Amino acid sequence: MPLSELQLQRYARQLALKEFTCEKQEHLLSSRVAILGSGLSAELCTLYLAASGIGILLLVSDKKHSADMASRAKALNPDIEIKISTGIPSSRDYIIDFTQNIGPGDCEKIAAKVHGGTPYILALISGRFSIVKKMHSDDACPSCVLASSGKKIPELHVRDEPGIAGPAAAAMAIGELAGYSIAPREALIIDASAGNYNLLKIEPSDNCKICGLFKKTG
Amino acid sequence: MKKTGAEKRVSPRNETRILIIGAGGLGSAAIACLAQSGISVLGVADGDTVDITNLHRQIIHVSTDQGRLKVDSAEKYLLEHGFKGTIEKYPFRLEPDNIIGIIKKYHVIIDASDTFRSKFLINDACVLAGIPFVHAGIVRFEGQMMSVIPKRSSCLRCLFESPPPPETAVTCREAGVLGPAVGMLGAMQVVEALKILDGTGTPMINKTMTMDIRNFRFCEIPVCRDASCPVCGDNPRITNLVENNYPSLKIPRENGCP
Repeated sequence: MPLSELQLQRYARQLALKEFTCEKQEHLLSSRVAILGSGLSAELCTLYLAASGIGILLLVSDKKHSADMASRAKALNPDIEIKISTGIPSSRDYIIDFTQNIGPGDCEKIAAKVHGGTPYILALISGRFSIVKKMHSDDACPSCVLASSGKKIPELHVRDEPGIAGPAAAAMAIGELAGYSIAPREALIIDASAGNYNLLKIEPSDNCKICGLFKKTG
Repeated sequence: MKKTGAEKRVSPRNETRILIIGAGGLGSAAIACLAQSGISVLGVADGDTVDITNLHRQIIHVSTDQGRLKVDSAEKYLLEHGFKGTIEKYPFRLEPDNIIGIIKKYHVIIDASDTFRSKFLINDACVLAGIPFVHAGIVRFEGQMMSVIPKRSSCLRCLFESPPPPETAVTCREAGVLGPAVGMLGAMQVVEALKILDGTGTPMINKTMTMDIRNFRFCEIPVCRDASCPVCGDNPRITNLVENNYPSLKIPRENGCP
């Protein structure tokens, strides 16, 4: 459906980008993105996706958080539809995962999501340290990503979460959905405390049992 | 009783005062990130009202806020998100004759303003008043950020002596801007401000960080203190704030830039 006059105004600064067109905006308005988890980054990601005009946001988190987010996102952009779910909806174009409980079992689930064909971004946040990574079917698993970064996820200090990973993941997803960029294969490693923002190429570890699972399902 | 690491980190923020100049794109992200950070006083300065073209990136304002002062809308967001501290609102543009008196009440300033005029004014005022600040600017997918700690680091005028000529100044109104890119930069400014306040981590001083969010490339460029800098150099030309140092760039204004 062509953009209305009001929508042209709402998305004017986005449409002024030479990489954006009305057709790309219309495509965003028909896209469905599932956002898993809660916390500041998940909240910011949801709001930026809503503001950018992602048509359907599927919030997968605890009920209260999802209801609060749904109401805020809808107030920000009445154009969009918000659905609350307790599990990952089968109908989605993109998954962004802010759940932080990464263990072998979760890696298995991630492998299933990656191999389910839906583009999938994993965001791991611990204190001022964050990783944002588009997962590919032949990729290193989250466990390898963490091992390569030289850090193990310590106890979460949510109060100090910088929130940078949220808009970063939203930017990756919008770029791919609008078709003007491809999320990097490298992991975006954010060490906000040191002021380091880098892309890091991560090879799957030969010794990793979880990557083996990725390879098997691939 | 011996304090734990977490308590050590938390306690200084009980007396902290941060001022955000601009409640647009960068300011929205900064306000959202600071809502639950435990700081005691948050100042917000902006004379604009919310416009529909703001809403693709200024996430603290909602559709029904159109026409409302951004500082009021920011206050509403903070209260809805459980901000426990004091909110100080400045619903007007900071100018050479009022900025020093306002920034002196704060420990760190976040420059989330939308014009070169404001950015140079904030730089000069902060250097003269000795208040640390975090500068950032963004258009399209490309942004930059640097922290300035007066007497300890270089300042914005060490990097650019003066604002660019009006005909070369590109605005987001003409060239566009990606919402989440603004959000990333605003969140990064908050981290910088908290590092300066807490005395932890490594603030981004004596360098500027540039980013291109299309391909997630980040680059650090060293910025040495310039002995001939007009505001922080050995023989500064700017020793007080006079209007002549901050000519308007004559860019048509509307409620819109980050």
